[in-house]
Amino acid sequence: MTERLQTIACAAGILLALAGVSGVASHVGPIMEGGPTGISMAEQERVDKAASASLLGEFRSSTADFLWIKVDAYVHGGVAMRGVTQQEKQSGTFDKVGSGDGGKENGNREHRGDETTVIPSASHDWRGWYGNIEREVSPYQDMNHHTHKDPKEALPLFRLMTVSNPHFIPGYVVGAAMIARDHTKVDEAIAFLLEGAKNNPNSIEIAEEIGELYSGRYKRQYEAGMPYLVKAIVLGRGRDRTTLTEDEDEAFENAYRWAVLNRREAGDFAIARKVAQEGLKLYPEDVVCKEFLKEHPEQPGNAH
Amino acid sequence: MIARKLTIWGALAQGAILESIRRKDMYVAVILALVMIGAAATIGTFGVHGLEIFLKDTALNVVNLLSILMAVLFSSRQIAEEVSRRTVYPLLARPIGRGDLLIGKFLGAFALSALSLLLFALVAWGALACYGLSLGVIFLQYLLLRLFSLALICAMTLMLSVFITPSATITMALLLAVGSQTFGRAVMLVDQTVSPNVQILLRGVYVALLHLDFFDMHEKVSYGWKPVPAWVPTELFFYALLYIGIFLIVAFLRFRRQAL
Repeated sequence: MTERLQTIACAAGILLALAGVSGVASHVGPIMEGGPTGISMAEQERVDKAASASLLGEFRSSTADFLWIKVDAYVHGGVAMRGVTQQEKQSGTFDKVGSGDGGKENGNREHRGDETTVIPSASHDWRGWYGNIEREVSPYQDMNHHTHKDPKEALPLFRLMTVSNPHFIPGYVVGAAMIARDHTKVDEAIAFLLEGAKNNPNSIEIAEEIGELYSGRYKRQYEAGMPYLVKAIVLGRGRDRTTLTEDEDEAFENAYRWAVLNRREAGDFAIARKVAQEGLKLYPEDVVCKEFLKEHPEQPGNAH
Repeated sequence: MIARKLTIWGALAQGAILESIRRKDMYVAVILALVMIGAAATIGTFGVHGLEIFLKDTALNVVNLLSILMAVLFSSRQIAEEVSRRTVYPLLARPIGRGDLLIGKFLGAFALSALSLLLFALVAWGALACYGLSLGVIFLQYLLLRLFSLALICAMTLMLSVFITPSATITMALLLAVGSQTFGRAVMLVDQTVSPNVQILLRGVYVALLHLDFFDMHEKVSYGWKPVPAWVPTELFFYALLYIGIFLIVAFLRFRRQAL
C-alpha cells in the first residue's frame, strides 16, 4: 500500500510539474506580441523578497537554465554538446563544432571552437561497439560545419525562461535575435527586449541589442536607437572592464560599433568620429571604428 | 520437457499477473494514465503551437519514468512477498524448482511492465495525436527498445530482491536504472584526465556495466529523426538477452541456497 502511495506521489509530482510548465507556456503563447510587460524594479524586489520567492528562487533559476539547454538542443536537432576539457584542448583530440556559415547565421549563438559533442565521433571514441550503438540510438551527427534548425520551435521556450527568471539576460537577448530572424517581427523582438530592459535596467547587452535592432536595416530608426546605444556605452564605462563578462564586453564593443554606424547613417559624422575615437581607446583593434576613421578622416574646418 | 517447463513458467507468470490484478496494481497505472491525459488536455486548452518538440520530449520522458517505476515496483516484490506471506511453501511443494519460480516471476513482472508501458505509450500517443502531433515510425522502434529495457530492469530488480530487502531493492534498482547514463558520461569525460591504470579500470567498469541508456530513443523520436537501421535493435536484443541471462543465473545461484 505504502509503495503504491509512493508511486502515486512521485507520478503526481512529475505530472503537476508538467501541467505547471505547460500552463505557463500556454498563457504566454508562442508569439510574442504587444508592448513590454515587465515589472518595475521595486515590484521585482518586493516579489523577490517574498517567502515563496525565496523558496522557489532556486527552482526558478534552474528552470531557466534547463530551458536554455533545451533551446540549444532544439537548434542542433537534439545533438548534445559540452565544453572542451583542458586535456582535450592540449591534445587536440576532440571533435570540433562549428557553424557551416562561419557563425554568421542571424539569431544563433556563435561557436567559438571551445565545444565538442557529448558523444564522440568513431575516430575519437575508444568504446567500439558501445560507441557505435550510442551514435545510432541518440541524436548524433558530425557538428563541424553544421547548420542550425529553424529556431521558431524554440521561441516559446525563451518566453518561458524569462517568465521563470526575469533576470536571465541571455534569454532576452538571444530570444529577441531569434524572433528578429523573421524580418517582419523586428518590432516584436524590440518589445521583448524592452520588457527585458525594464526588468534589467543595468544590462549592457539588452540596451545594445535594442539600439542595434533600431539601427539595423529592417528598422533604420536611427534617432530611436541612439539613446539605447548611448545607454549601453554609459553602463559599460561605469563598470570596471575587468569585471565585465565575455558577453557584456562583446556588447560594450558592439555598442561603440553600432553607435558609429548609427551616426554615420544619420549623417552626423562629427559624433560618429568622436564615438569611433573613444571606442578605439578601449578596443584598439575594432575594425568598424578603424574603417570609419580611415574613410572619414578629421579635416580642419570641416564638420564632416 | 521444454513444453512442461513452458507450462510451469506460463502458469507462474499468469499467477503473478492475476495477483497484481487482485491487488489492483493496474488501477494505479490507469489512474496515472488518466492524470497524463488530464495534463495533456490542460495544454490543449491553451494551444500547443510552437511547443511540439517540448511536448513530445516531456511526454516520452514521463512514459520512460513511469514505466521504469512500475517495472521496479512489480518485480521487487515478486519473491519477497511470496516468502513473507509464506505462500512460497505450497508453491515449492509442487514439482516446481526454484529456478522455475524465478523465471515464472520474471515473466509475470515483465508482462505487467510491458502492459504498463503500452498503456502509458498509448495515452501519450493519443494525447499528442489529439493536437495533431505525430511521432513517426521511429516511435515503434522506441517502444521495442523500451520493452527490452523493461525486461532488463525486471531481471535486475528480481536479482537484487533475493539479496537485499524490498525497500533497498527499489532504491538500488531505481538508482541503477536512472543513473547508468550519468556514470557512462562521467567516465567518458574523465577518460583522458586519469592515469593509464585508472583509465583501464574505468573502461573495464564501463564495458561491464549495464547500459540502459542504449535502450532509450525518446530524443530521436522527439526531434523527428529517421528510424535506425535494423542491426541496432537486433544487436541490442542480444545484448539485453545476455544481461537478462546473467541476472537470472546470479539470482538463481543465490535463491537456490537461500533459507526460506
